[in-house]
Amino acid sequence: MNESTLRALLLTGFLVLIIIYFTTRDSAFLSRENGLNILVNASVIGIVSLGQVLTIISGGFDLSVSGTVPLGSVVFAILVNRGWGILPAVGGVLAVGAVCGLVNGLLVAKVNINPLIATLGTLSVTGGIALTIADGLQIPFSDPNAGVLAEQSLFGVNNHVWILIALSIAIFLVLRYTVFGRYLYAVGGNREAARLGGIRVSAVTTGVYVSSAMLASLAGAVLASQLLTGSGTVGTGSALLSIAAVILGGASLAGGVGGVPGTLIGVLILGTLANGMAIISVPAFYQTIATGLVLLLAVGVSQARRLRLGI
Amino acid sequence: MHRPVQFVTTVSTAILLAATAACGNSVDTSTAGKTSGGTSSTFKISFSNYTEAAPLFRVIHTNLDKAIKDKGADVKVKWYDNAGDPAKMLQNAQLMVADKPDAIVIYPVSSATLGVGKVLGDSKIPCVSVNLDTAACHFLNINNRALGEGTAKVIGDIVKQRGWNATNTTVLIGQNAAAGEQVNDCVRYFYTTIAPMLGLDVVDAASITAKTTKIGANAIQFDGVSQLQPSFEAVKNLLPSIPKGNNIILYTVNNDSTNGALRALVDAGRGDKAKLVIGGLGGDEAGIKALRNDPRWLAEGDIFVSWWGEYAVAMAQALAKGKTPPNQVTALPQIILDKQTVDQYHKAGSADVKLLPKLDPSNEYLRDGGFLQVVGNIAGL
Repeated sequence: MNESTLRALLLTGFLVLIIIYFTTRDSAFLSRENGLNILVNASVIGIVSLGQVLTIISGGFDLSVSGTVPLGSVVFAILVNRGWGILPAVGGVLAVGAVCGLVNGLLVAKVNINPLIATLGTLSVTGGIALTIADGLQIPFSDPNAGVLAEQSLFGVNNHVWILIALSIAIFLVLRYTVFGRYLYAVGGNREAARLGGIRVSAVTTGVYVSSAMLASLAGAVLASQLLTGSGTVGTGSALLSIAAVILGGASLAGGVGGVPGTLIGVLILGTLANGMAIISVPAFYQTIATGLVLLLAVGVSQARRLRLGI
Repeated sequence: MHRPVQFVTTVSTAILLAATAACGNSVDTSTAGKTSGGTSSTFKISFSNYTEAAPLFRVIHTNLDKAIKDKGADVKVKWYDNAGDPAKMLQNAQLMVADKPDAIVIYPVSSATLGVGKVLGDSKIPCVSVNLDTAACHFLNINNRALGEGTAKVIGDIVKQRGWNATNTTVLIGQNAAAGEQVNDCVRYFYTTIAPMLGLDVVDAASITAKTTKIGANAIQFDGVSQLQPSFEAVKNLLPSIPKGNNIILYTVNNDSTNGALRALVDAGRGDKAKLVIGGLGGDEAGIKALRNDPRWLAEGDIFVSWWGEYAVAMAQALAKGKTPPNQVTALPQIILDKQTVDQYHKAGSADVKLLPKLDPSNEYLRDGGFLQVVGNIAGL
C-alpha cells in the first residue's frame, strides 16, 4: 500500500471517528438532512480548496482567494441583476477569476516574486476591488430565482454540491492521467529539475494560479447564490481555511505532494467539526481552538510518520 | 549593491515612509461652510468609523457628509476607517490625536479600548465614543437593553395570541460574542422579556454570556459575528437542534445577521410565515423594507444609524464648549417600530428618515451645540 493511499485511509478513519463521536453526543447529528447541511457549508471551501491544492502541489499557495471569492460574489450579483442568464454570469465570473489568476501567475512565474508576497498583494487588490465595485454595500439579487446554483436538484442535493463533485472528478483525472498533472507534480517536487527536463515551468505555474483564481471566483458565485446577495465582505477567510483543508488532506507545503481525495477529506473534516460542535453547543470561541488543535494533531501525526519512514 | 546606492535607497525609503505617515490613514474629508477649506471658526472633527466596508456603518459617514454639505454647516470632518480591526483602531486614534482637531469621535470595533482610551485621554481633546464605551471619552449610545425588551414585547404580544408557547416554540437569538456585553444586551434582554410571556424557562440576563449556546429548553444562541455569511453558516449548522415543527422566533444584534440566519432557515424549509417571526434591529433599508413587506417581520428596533453622525457632531460641539453631559450615557435616537408606526418616521416607500424622535433628558443638552438645529430633522427643534 503506498504512502498516499495509507494517508487517505488514516484521514478517512479520523473522519469516521469524528462522526461517531458527535453521533454519540447528539443523535441529531447523524441524519441525511444534517449530512446535506455539512455538504452545503463545506462546498464553498471545497471548491476553493480544489484550486488551492493545485497551487500547493506546484510548491506555492494562493492567499488571494480571500479577495477573489468576494469579488466573484459581487460580480455574479451585478451580472444577474443586469439580466444575464446564469451560465453567462458564471462565464463572466470565471473570466474575472482568470484575469486575477493570470496576474498572480505572472508575478510568481515571470517576475519571480515569492507566492506568499505576490498573492498577499493581490489579496488586498482583489478584496479592495470587490468592496469598491459594491461601494461597501451588499447587492441583493433582484430575482431570487437567480440563486439556482444553490437550489436543490437531483436527489435533493444542492446544485453547488454537484458542481463540487464534478470539479473534483475532473481535477482528479487531470492530476492523475494528464501530462499537465504529471508536470505539476514534477514542478512541485523539484522546480529546477523540471525545467532542465524540458517542462515549461512558467506556463505550468501560471496555469495553476489561473485555475485557482477561477475556482475561487466560482466559489464566490456559489456563496452569493446561497445568500442571494453579493458582498465584498463574504468569504474573506477562504485562504486560511482552504490551506488548512489541503494540508490536513496530506499535501505538503514543500510541493510535489497532494491530491483531490485527501483535500476533500480535509474539507469534510473541517466542515464536520464545525457542524458537530454547533450541534453539541460548543461556544464559538472554543470551536476556533478545537479546529486549530485538530489540524495540528492530524498534520503532526502525518509528519511524524514521514520522519520515521525517512520520506 | 554599492554603498552610495544603498544610502540613497535608504534615505529615499525613509522620506517616502515619512510622507505616507504624514498623509495619514484618512478615507475622506468633508467640509462645508461659507469658506472652502474652512475658516478659524470651522469646527474640526476627526472621526474614526467602525468600518467603511459594511453599509450599516458606511451610511454614518455618507449621511453626515451630505448633511454638512446640504445645510452649509461650518463643520469639517476628517474620516478614518477602523476596518473592524482593533489594531487599526489604535493606529487611527494616534493619527487623530496628531490631527489636533477640536474634537474626536470614535466608533470602537470591540470592547478592547483601554489602549485607545489612554491615547485619547492623554491628548486632552474632547472625545465622543459611539456605541461602545472608551475610557476618557464621553459615551454616546443606544440603549440595547431597551431595544431588546421593546422588541420582545411587540413580538410576544402577537405570538401569544397565536398560541405560541413552550411546547411549540424555539427562540433563536444571534449574538456577536466578541463585541462585548453592551452590544449583546439586546438579545439577552429580548429573551428574558419574552420568556415569561410565552411560558419559556426564565433565566437571569447575567447568565446569558458570550459562551452561552443553549438557554433553557427553548432557546438557542448562536454567534453570527453581526455578519451575513457567518450567521448563515452558524444557523445552517444548528438546524438539527431546532425541533421539527416548532415555531421559530428570530432576533439578532443587527439585520445583516438576521438576514443571514433567515436565509439559512428559508433554505431549510423553515421560513413559512405561519411558523417564523422576526424582530429586526437597525432601521436600515433592508429592515424597514422587510417590516413593510415581509409578514414574518413584526418589529424593527430603529436606531436611526444613518443619523448617528449628527448626534456625534452635536455632542462633540457641546463638549468643546465645556458642557458636561448630565448622564454617563447620552442617548442616541431609538424607537421600536411595528407595521402600523413605520411610516410615521420614514418616508413612504423608502427608508429615508422623515423625522427623528424628540430629545430626551439625557441628550437634551445636545441642542446647545447648535448643529442639531442646523440639520433640522428632530421633532421639537
